[in-house]
Amino acid sequence: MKVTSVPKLNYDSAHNKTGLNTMPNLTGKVAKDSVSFGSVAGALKDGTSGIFKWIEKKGFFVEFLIVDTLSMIVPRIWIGLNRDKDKIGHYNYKAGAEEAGRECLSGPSMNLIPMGILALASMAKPSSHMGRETIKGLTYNMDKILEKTKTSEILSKQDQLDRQLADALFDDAFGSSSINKSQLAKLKDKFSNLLIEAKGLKGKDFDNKAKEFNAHIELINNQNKKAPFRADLIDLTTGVGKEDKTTLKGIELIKDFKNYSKDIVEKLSKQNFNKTGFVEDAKKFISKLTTNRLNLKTASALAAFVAVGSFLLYLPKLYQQGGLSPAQESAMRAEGGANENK
Amino acid sequence: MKINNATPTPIVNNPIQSTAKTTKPSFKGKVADFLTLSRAGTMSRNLFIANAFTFLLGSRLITSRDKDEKREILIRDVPTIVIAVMGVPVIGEIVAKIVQKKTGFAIMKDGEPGLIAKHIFQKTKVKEVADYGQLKSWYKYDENLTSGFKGFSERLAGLGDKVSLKKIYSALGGDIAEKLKPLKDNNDEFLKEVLKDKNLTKSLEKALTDGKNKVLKQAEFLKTTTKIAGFGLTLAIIGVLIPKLNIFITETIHKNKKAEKEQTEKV
Repeated sequence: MKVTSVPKLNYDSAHNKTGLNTMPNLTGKVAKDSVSFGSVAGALKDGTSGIFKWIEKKGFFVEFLIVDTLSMIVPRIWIGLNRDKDKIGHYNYKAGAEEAGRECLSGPSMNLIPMGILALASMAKPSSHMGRETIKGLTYNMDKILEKTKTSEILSKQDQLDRQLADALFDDAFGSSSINKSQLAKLKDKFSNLLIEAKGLKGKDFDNKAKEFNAHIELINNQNKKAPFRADLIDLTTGVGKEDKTTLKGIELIKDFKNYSKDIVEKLSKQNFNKTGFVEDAKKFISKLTTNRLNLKTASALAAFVAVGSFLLYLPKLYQQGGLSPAQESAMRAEGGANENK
Repeated sequence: MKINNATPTPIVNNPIQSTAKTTKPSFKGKVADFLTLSRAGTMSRNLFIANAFTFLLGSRLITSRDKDEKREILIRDVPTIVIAVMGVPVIGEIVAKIVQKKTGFAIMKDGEPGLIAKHIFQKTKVKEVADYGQLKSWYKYDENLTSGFKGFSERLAGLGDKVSLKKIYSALGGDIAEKLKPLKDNNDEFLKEVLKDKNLTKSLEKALTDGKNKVLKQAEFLKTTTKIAGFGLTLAIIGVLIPKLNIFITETIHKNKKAEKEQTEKV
């Protein structure tokens, strides 16, 4: 049985792990014999893996753009330019231009337009950026807090509510784990501190805090009796059913928490509630906001669908040139037609 | 909904009347899943394909000027749209299965079945290629792991039938690989023998703790090969094969028409 000494499990241990975060190694406990491939083949292997890691990090848009550019835009323009080149005697500029117009405009727009719409929706209502299940999960935990709230005054203190929500999220995910109580309390403290601190950060500072939070989640998960499937994931209960759960990465949760706090908890704290029946009123208020954000998500997707569709419908007018289609011209040349449009 | 396997389920003792609707699969739920934008803002896969078929294909067909262009659009664009969206992951999965079998490394994990897998092939679970973050979790040893090297190895061994701890750890090379050579192939027996040798276990732990260890690098490279295969084949099919096939068909049809015309003129 591996016995982990207490000093290892405190705050600084997060910084002892090699290669896990961007902060400099405080105690210098690095594996000195760090191995690498060390040869040309090795460097090549590293390089290619590095490229695809970057592509994966950027998401579907970059992957699609690469496929689109290399497999459709460039080859089709080339094939179009060379279509019947032997028969005409020069590059087929008409075919090439049409291919260029169509391919360059359709693929990227199908991604850029939805991304633009989501960006607009997120600027208006930050909570619409996170996943459906995540909003439901955060609201579910928020409800639990409201049930326990003794007086309506507490509802106006956003900081207290945020802290309670952070604690509730920890209990939700790790409350019934096998870690001993005192250790669990320390981990919970740091967990909530990180979430609250991240609320006021932006840009690079926020990213660093997110990485720290991610590392902390890994630390907690690794303390389970059984090795976790993936160390940086955290569970979130979304409802009363057994199947009502969702999972997200630490770096995602910290961003969603920040948005939820800014969007929903802040609005809750600015509302005035009566001294009696405030629990029900508060829950109704949150429920209305949650439903509104969920509907906004659906509406954004629908708007994106329609916007992209409209653009694609209009697109042929932008690239089609007058006269016959390149296909028709090519067919005529194959049949041996005498009058061909150049 | 994905559930992180090893974290225990929190017991909900007092089911609270939540204002969040419970997620029972309903028509409204299915529509909501369909009408979704990803975190990055791109349309979900099914939404993208539906959009492309409706508008890209639809518009090109409607505004096409002649029969030949219509045929070209169908032959070229229908397979292109599907392969552009699904080519890289699907080809990647096929290659990954082969890679796993040959090398004994695990690079796949369970995933949600897509529409076709769910409704046409009746699958409830599918294997998809794990992302690089997942590979790091599997192949980099964390000294804070309470379950220790044993838990780490057992997790690896449990990832698939063909996973071979011996082959994986041998990728470290050098002295360690030499020490591992005489050990048994079967995962359970291999692990038992390794754990008995305290020094060997320690040196394995030390080597695997490095964020740039050879095992992790190899696993990442194996995944990269699936990506290269996916991109390469997708590029070849969409970029060269389909367009050339398309033009070839057009020319053939019209060469035949020309031959027919000459035939009838002769008579």
